[in-house]
Amino acid sequence: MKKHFLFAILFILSQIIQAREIKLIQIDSTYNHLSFVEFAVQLEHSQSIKVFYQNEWIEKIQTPQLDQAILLDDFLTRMLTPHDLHFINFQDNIIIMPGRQLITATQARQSNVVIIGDPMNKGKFKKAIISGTILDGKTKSPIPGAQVLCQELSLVTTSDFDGHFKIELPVGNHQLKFSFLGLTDELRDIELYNKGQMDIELYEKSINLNQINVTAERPEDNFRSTSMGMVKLNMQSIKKLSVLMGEPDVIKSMTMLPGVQSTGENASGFNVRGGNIDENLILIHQTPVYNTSHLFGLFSMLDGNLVKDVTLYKSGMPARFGGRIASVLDIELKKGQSEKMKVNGGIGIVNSRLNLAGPIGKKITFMAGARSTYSDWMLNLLKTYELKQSSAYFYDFNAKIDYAINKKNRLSVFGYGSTDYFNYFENAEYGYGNLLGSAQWSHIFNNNNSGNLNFNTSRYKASIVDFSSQNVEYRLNTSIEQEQLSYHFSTQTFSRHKVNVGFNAIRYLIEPGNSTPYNDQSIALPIQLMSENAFELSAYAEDEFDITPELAVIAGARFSNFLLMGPDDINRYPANVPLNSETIIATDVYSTSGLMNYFNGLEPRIAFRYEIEGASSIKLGYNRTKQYIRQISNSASITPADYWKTSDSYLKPLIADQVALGFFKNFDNNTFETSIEVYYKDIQNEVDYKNGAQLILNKDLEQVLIPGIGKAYGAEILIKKSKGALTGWLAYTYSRSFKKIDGTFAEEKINNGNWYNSNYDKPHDLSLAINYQLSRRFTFSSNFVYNTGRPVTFPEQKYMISTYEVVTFSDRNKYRLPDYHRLDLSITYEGSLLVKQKWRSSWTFSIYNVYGRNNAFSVYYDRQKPSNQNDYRTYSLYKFSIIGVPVPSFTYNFWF
Amino acid sequence: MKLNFQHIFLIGLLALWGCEDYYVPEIDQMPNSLVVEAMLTDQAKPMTLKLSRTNPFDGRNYLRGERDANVTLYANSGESFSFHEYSSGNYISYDTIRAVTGEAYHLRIVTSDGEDYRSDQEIMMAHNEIDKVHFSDSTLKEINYNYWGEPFVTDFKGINISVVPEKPMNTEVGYLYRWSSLINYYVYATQGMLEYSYFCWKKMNSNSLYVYDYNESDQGNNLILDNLHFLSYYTVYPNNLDSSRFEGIVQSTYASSFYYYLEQYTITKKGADFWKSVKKQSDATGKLFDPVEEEIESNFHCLSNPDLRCFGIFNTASYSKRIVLVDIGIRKVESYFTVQSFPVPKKDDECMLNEKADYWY
Repeated sequence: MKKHFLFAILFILSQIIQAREIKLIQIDSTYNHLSFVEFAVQLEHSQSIKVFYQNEWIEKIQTPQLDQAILLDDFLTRMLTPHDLHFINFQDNIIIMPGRQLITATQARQSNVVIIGDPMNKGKFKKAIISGTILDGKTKSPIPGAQVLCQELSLVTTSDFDGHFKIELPVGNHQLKFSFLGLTDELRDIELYNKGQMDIELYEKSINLNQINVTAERPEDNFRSTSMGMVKLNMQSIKKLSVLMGEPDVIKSMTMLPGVQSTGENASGFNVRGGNIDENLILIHQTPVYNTSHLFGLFSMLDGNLVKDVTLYKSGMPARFGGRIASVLDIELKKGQSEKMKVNGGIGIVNSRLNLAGPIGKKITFMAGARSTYSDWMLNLLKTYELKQSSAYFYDFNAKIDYAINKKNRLSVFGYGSTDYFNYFENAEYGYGNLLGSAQWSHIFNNNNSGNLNFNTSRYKASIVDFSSQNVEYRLNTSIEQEQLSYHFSTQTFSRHKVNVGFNAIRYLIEPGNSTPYNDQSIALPIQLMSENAFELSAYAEDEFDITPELAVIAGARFSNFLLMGPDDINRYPANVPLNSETIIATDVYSTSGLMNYFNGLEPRIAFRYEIEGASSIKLGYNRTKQYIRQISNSASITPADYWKTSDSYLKPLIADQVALGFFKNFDNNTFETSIEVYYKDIQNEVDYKNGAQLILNKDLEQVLIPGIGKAYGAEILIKKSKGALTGWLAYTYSRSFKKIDGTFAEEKINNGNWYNSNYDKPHDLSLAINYQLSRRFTFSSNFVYNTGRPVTFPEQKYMISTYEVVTFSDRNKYRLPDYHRLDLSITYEGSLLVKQKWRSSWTFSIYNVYGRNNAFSVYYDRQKPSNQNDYRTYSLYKFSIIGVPVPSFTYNFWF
Repeated sequence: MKLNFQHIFLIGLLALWGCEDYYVPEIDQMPNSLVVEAMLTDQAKPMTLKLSRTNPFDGRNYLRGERDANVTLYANSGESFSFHEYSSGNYISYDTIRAVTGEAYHLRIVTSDGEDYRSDQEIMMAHNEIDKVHFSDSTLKEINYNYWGEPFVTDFKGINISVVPEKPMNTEVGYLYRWSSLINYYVYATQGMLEYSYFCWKKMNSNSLYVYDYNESDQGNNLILDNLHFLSYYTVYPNNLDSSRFEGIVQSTYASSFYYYLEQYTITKKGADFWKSVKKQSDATGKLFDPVEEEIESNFHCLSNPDLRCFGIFNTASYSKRIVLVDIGIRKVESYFTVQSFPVPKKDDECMLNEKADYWY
């Protein structure tokens, strides 16, 4: 056993030692005038790189004179070429081979010239448009978002949702580069005479034995894209991050990015640029989701293995998105396999998953999966009786079918369902679940125009049973349901313009809360708050215009209209009095389903990009966003007791105006991407709750929620390395977020009407994500996060009244939790990499919170046990840490 | 309806790795504020009130009585009543005060440092009797741990008590309740052929206030209140019995009946809100999710310096009471303990555990 262990350690060490990035090794004058053998020995000694050769080939070779250090690649080429030799980099070893390096098949293919148009038209036109479709060579399905680049003219365009692209070039010879994340770039030399069509197929990247370069998005997008505040991560990048339970987590991965902050250790939701958690629109395959977590935040609601990529818009939201003021998180799912059935799964200590993907006939592909947990056994390990008797589980399932009706029409149907359940002994029972469904029809009209029609539905329900008072047991239900119909049309009819127009129609049905007696014995009074019915109708138009190769603009606007429908009861108060139960003068009863109230407004959005020489650009953007529904909560993270609420006469829609400015630059041939962005956000109609507010089952919320204003500003710095064995990023965010609640009356003021920190004001946030490809099979990952503790309100004094000891609180959010920091490590071992291997697998071992820091999730006060005889204090503050120890986990993933 | 989601919202999984530590942040030292506890009732007797000061949150807890204050009660009718300090921080009116229904009163307190505090005007509520007191059998489960730390559940049988007041004239009212109970129990002892019987009683008091808003049910005019409290037979029984007080060897004890004495204070709704906030804050804890800060709104203000905070309440209350005899039958208690050292009672005489209640007859 011991031997095996030592062997394993030595093996891992040897892999680590081998793991050199040959391309970065420099050779200096210490290698001058050596025989080849001496050179090989010295290289092996200093860089741990082995050189393989046959003696007869290298006998006459001497290293050249170097005045300054050069890269090993160049050095070898300079030394070997005169002797009709070349080298191959194989598993980070150097193999010397006879002859000149052959032109590869790919290069040969690249050298083919494509003629577009009729050569007889030579000289007839100055410019011509090339259009076509970019397809996945394997599945033959269109690729949206693929890039077409004409490097010498710095012209770039992207394919639309249906894979269609269009680019206008001067007639003559050019080289076009077609690229898409995870697929091999294709180069085409073209001779352009007049307008014409060219379809391109891109294929999956073959595995390079020495090096795996996975880029989150095209690196040049960093400075070339006009979008601001947009971050795109593919699943490969997310999987590399070390997380709790070894489970790739889409939502938690986002919190490693600049401008995105966690709400707390393993808590649901995230904050973007000083925005609340309910101000993020989270879309899965264009369907909104209202709770993105399982087990209150321990796991993400969606199996990361189903996700193709994730795009987060922190500012510069495209006009097609609306309804939330802080961000849009757009999660796109993978497509089914078109060739043969594939299965992948994972077995962890708490949950397992299984996914299937394959074809049904020639035109249909499907993907289906399920996850379930078996966490009850862990509860049984606990000493606490209440927890032994408790139960917690979740499961989810999903399915997606893509039907390629013909070349111009495609249909995609998606469904998702989940259930979470937690029973806390005989005290309470919590349950919540999501149900999502969508159907999308995409149609290509012609080379320039395409559109898609989408219908989706999303339902979130939460239920709480309170058993704590005998004979007063009751069940509380809340829910939100929405149906959405949208149409999106995209056209590239006009040169250098890409125009998007469309509309959305959403119907909301919200149950803010109803409680019923849990059983026949319960005398709890039933309480039913009126359901809320509303419609949100919006239309938008947007134009992406390349004014010059350097200057581009995206300008658009969205007009939204919110209609609140009856029936409902609205309290009426006289002017100039505080809103409370004593000042109600009448209640207007809207008994029918007619219009009760409405709001509307224009949401302009504009962004400029000016590209500067040296792979850099400056971007400037402004956008206005409106939000008509919000979550009513008084905790920092999402809980099942929270519920959604529409805007009404008292709770006006949130309106945010954001201005952002950024400088973006790539270095070293796009190996390093850097950016710095600053932003300022002004928010209207913020609310905060009065001290001691009862939010649950409160039909008169206007009496406890006080309107005000908000503002947020900050700066974000990102340094990212996307190529090489070592990849990762360093993100730093300085972010402030404030509220001002300054009503007319004393009870409508918080902190005397002065600006104060919002719950999610965390000025400093640092994230470091590192991924190192140790060898073909071993990958090492590490995360480090640091952020300032969030603001909290602490008790400052105490007093006795009757038999009660009570406390007095500081101003709202006057203090802060201790700063948060954590280090995670993980190592992944890939099984056989043989192409013919059917059953493939990987093992991931990870440690979350390596140095076991007790990061505070919350600080609360409670009565304390005296620490000694003379300790007369009755209250103390306690720091509650959710994960205060290093948590190892082990996951086995397989696919075949 | 008790809403305690926030403090029991602990996931078992997290408990594997979760932990709690003392936390000592630097909390700003604030000036000690005045705290007032005063209640004016329609009983004809001198009114008492208590003045004290707040203490630092992490400091020692003791009642810091406010000395040498000048306290006056004013009625809208023009009457005023002065108070004097009879012990540290405790004040009593010189005269008997019987508050009049519908009359508004307010308190003025001038502290020794010259600050002038006033209460809001509080209106005396109309007299409102207790209509019914309900008693029903119930079981309370309690988790205990044995010597090895293993949990076990104990069922405590007892009585749930709830109350129905008469329908008030003004529905914008609240109620405060206090209860006490006088339990009659029987001790049977033998010595050889001799038999001894003892009839004993002990008094129990509520150690907390019970506060409710008026809330009419759908079924009728009766106000159905949640359970006022649970009185377990375990606490009713004389478990801490000093057997040396009895001649012979105690063979059995049982409680046969008890008198239940309930006091009702009908107060303003705002006054009830104050006490509800006090109780709610007293129950609040945080853990996973922060509690809502329950800053308790006082009806006192400092006129001389509006920046000075003042806490506490001045209530006006109409008072009523009800005494109920409850026959609980013979419920034998098998075990007893010898812990107290009360004087040995005479045979067949009453034995006391506490002083005799004034409603005992």
